[in-house]
Amino acid sequence: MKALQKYKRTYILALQNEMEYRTDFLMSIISGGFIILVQCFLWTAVFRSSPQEIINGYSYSQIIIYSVLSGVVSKLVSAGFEGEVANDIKTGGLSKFIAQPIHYFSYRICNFFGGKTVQTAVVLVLFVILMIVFTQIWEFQLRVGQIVLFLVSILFGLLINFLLFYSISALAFIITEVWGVFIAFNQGVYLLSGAIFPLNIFGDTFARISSYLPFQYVVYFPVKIINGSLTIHEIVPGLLLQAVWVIVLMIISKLSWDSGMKKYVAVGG
Amino acid sequence: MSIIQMEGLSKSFKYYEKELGLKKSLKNLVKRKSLIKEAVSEISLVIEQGEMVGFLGPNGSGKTTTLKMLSGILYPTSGQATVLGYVPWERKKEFKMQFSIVMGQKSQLWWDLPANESLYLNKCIYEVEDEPYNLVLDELTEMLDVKDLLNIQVRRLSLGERMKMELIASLIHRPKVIFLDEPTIGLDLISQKRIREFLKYYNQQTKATVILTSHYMADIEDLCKRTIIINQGKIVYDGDLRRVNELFHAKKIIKLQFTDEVPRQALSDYGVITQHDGLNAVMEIDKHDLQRLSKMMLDRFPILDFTVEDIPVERGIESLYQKDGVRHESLAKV
Repeated sequence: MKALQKYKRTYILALQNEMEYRTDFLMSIISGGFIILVQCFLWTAVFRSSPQEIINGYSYSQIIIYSVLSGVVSKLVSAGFEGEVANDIKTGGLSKFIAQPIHYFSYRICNFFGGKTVQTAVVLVLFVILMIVFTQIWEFQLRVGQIVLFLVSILFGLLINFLLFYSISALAFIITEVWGVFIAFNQGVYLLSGAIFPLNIFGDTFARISSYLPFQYVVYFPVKIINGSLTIHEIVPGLLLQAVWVIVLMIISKLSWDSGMKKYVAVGG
Repeated sequence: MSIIQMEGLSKSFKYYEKELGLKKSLKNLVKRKSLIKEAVSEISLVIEQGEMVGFLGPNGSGKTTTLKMLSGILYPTSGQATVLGYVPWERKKEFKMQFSIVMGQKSQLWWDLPANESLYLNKCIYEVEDEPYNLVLDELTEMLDVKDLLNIQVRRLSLGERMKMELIASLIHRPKVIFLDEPTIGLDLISQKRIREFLKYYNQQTKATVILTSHYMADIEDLCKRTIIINQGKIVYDGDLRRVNELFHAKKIIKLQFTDEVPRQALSDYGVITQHDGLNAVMEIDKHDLQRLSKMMLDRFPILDFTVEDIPVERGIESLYQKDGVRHESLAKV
């Protein structure tokens, strides 16, 4: 019980810390809004110039809803701590965690969720507003069960994304200047998770390949739950696959960190 | 029982060399010459409970590396060590609960939150009960005079104030062994003194074993009865700092003031002249010849003032640093 206290405390501290950076988060929401706006303009132009009502299986309203929701969800699950971790490794900040009775992984995950709690509160408010707007202008329906499943899948998505970035940040043990890798990885995840376009737009081959990868479970899958394009028979296996990915990635991150830790040479003589 | 034991502890790092120039950079992409630096070599030491030991040495001499091995952050390349009966790099929780390491250049406080939040986090990390926590916190903040600063964001604190908070954070769980790596780095004289007084008092009160590294002579002179001078990864001296010069026993410093100018050559017969401007001179003279030579000089020159001094400790250490660490004799158990 006492041992859990330290992680609870880390969570609370991260929560408080996040509140110190209100403007920062607000700005990131606004910048996310721009991207959504650009996508909406793009799709509007595409649909205007096309004689078809449905493009790639999406109607105009469906694609707009997808763009907006994926923008919001990708903001919600975004990692952003990888730089901090790399910095800890590079400058030797990791040393204090080795010397203290606290696990770095647990510390990071509490820290991550602590920061996310504040963001989630803001994003959920935004979400409710968007949902009301959508149900008003388009025939868009929501069931309670759908919302619950959506929230569960978001939680898994958060975990998957955390583990992906936690694993990749172990590269800082080998590569001292790891920023380039992070940027590339970030863009890759952004695309493959379905944050920009729904993944089936890229064709069947692409969809099949990405179904073997964890990325689509970060954004694409949760958004498909909430926009109503999945039946319950598709959602449940999806959630199970998310859980499987969480376990697989946990093992990967453990392996990469264990081997990294062996290499770890605290800086300074 | 000795609290800290080291036996032939060594650590070497692999590093890469790159020569100047773009051409060499390109070459480096393909093939890198790896070199091995021995940061710590064959250090053996025993430290007893309640001792306050100072590690002194130039930059890169291996002080911090030694502390990092003792706190389990680094694995040694070879050799053994135990702290409180534990092997540090096994990183056992029971061990971690009983020691503390403070790195003057690395903060463990949360930058954007008030210090008391970080202190409370440490309370939870070290599983300290409420009552002892409040007691320790009261005592430490009182002693360091930072009670009013607990609610201020850490980034708004001055360097000295922050260092005091770091110290408090690392003492919350009343560690039995404390490693302090440059705790006074970058601080002004008053803050340095304050922290020194605190450490001295804390050591006496709690009987905690303290190892301290510093560049500042004053830190170590003031705090540590026992000083270990490290150069190029080896122990070159172990004992009382004030007796460092006994390694160079032979010399004394004489300061002379004359009523009339005395030429340099005339003095050079008696010893090594380190300063000379006609009316004043400073010389180094063999201790054994001191009496005989000074008598001769007093007879020969128009001397107004004559003082004999010991060689300052700094000079002794300087010469130890320059000796490439080959010197092994020590005045340890004197």
